[in-house]
Amino acid sequence: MGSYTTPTWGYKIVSDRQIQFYHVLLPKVKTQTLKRSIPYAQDIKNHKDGSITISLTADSYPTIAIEKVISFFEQKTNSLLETPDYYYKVPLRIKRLLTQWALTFQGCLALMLIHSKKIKKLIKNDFEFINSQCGGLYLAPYTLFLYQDRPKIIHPISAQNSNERKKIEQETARLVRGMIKKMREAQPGLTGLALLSMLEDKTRLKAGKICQIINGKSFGVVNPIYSPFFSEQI
Amino acid sequence: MKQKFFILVVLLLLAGLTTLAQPLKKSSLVVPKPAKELLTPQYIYIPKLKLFLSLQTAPIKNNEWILSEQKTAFFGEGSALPGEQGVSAIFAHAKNGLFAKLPLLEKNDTLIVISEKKLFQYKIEEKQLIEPDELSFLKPKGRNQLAVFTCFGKDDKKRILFLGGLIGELPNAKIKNSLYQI
Repeated sequence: MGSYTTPTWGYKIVSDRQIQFYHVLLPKVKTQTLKRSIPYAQDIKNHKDGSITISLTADSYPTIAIEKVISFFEQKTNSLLETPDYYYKVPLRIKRLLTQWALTFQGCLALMLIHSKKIKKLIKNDFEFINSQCGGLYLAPYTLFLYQDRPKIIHPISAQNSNERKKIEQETARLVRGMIKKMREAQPGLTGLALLSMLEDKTRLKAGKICQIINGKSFGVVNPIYSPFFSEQI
Repeated sequence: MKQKFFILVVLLLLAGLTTLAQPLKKSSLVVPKPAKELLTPQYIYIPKLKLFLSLQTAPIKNNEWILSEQKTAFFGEGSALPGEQGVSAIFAHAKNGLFAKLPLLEKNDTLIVISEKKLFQYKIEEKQLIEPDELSFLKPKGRNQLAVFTCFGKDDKKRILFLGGLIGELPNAKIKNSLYQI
């Protein structure tokens, strides 16, 4: 009987009426959904090792059923590679203000992200600036890039981490919106203080410690002058 | 009452017609950007080196790509756009902050190219040392490849070239094979 394996999926034709199948995305798919998507599936049995055994109807061929299953998971993979866009809007006045403080702003965002309860478990409790004129943050294991109107994780991208990426991007957009709001509402000349108080509140770190962390991380890092987030071009 | 209602309707209609009669403002017209512009690479990211660079398009002059600036990387004009059939060429000086650490890359490392609308992932398939005037690697091989190169060796007499094959693009996610881990 035929069998085939790749690093992400594999199958074995057990008999004319049974196939064993494995895919890394199996935990993300409900058995009922899978059963509905494969017309020849009579019964699906889950195994402890994460694989499934699909019992087929009498009028079906295992090879055709396998094709259907693989195509179902390819579609699922494609849909999971992309995440929804979560937007923020940065007024021109704030952009101009941030041009000189781009690294500080990114550092504040990174600190809030690593202290955020929603995504704390998804990233390590540390960050690095991407030493680039385009900006970006490395929140291990993810690289986060701030586009003009939305954040995106640009590496690593896989179907398995789609939920994690979605959560991080959503939280980043939420925090950026909050930071912009705080800066907009601050009295002229006190924007930095307003941001610092927000940071103290979100991270429970003292102002001195925050400055020390951001100063230390910024050492030798270029100002991201070509970052679309800080750029005035629309 | 009916008269009032009639007058109101006439006024509303007139207001509508006046609005329609006004010439359309330039800003209200949505001019779609040409697809080429949307696909032109804007950034390159090399995860292994944590190197993120913006790209400028290097024009061709006397059969050579002109590197107008020393602080950025370049996409070679005339080379294939990412995702299209052919070889997309990206290069920069072997300087700190640019491609100085490029020789550290190895086979199977990932290269990411970002255009306005898409993100392209390549996996390095070949690493070669070539002569500065060698351009045979730009020959199309029936699929999209990315050539990333910089100066190498004593007095920059050689070029170190990495050829990567396209493994995925986002959005409109397409996967070339089951190895979609990027």
